[in-house]
Amino acid sequence: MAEPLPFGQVLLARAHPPSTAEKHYEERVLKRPLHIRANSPTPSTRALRRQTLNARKEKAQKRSKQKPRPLSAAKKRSMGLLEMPKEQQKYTIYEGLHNLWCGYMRELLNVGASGTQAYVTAASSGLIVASADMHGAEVEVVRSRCVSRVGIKGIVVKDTKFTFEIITAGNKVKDVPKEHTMFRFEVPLVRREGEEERRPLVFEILGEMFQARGADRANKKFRMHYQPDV
Amino acid sequence: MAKDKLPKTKGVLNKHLHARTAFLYQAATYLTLHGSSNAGLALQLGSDLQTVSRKGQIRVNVDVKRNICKTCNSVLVPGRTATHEIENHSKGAKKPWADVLVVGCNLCGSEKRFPVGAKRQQKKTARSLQTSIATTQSPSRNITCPPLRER
Repeated sequence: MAEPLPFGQVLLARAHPPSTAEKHYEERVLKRPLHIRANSPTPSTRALRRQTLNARKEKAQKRSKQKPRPLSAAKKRSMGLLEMPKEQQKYTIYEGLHNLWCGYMRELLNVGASGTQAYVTAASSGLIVASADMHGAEVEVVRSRCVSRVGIKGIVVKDTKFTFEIITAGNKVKDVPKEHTMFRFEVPLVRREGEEERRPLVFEILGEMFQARGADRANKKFRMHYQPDV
Repeated sequence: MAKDKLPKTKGVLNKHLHARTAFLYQAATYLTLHGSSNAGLALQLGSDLQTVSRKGQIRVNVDVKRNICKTCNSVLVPGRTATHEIENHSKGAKKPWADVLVVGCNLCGSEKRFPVGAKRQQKKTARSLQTSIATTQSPSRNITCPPLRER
């Protein structure tokens, strides 16, 4: 028996006479032209690399935009965050800060209530003192090339690269340049029971060598220098 | 002759930096609580705290880190310099694990968000340890080891 007609031809035969169905099937189904369109060429490796790179960059940018950013200097200035407001320029507020600072220094020098160190030497604790935070220290200008600055005494409220801002007992904020100046500060020791009052530890700072921001001094290496003049 | 190695330093490395960050945080908190407005030195101390920890490569205590605004470096005291709210964006606020603590800074208006209701995923090392234990245990129960082939 002959092969059964293909399904398409059977379908066509339902509407057309068999000869037409056969012809149509032959011409329009079997020999249907297949139009081939050239697809886009495969991108070069360079282009591919660029694409992935761009995508990654965009993603990173999107992510970094969500991160909290620090305030810009202009914004800080406009909000008035950089200067100290008038009502905060009171010595009494900063006395508490000074007490905190004294505790911090005693801990650093290991001479507190639980401290064991008998005495403090330049070799043992000089570096630590030099890198310590000075906010809250009560400093006094002992030597200066500018004579009128000698004798200024107060608590450090700002430690910038080139100046100390000091609040005096008379509620005045003074900017004292570190250059050509020598500062002295004291760390009072705690009085133990059954002991006489101990004399405070006294340190002196060469302002010239101290010209770095407080936070930058944290792990700065200090070297011995010959200081020709103050 | 082998040189004796120095004994490993016990205690905290960079002790002075830790003391410094602790002092800075205390001082900043003191000033925000006692100063009449939250400006000036307190913010400076907060930013110093960040800088010192970054320069000295020490980790700030998590509680300290969360109590400092990332944008303006002010100390976030609830009710005073910051607002603490619980937010729940789930449908009808029904899912307790969708609770998010939103801490808003009153000074600069930035927000910190902490998922408080959600259980934290275990650390990756802990997870991989667990799975490895599970995989090593389960086949031993069911399948006996095939006898070794002789060569």
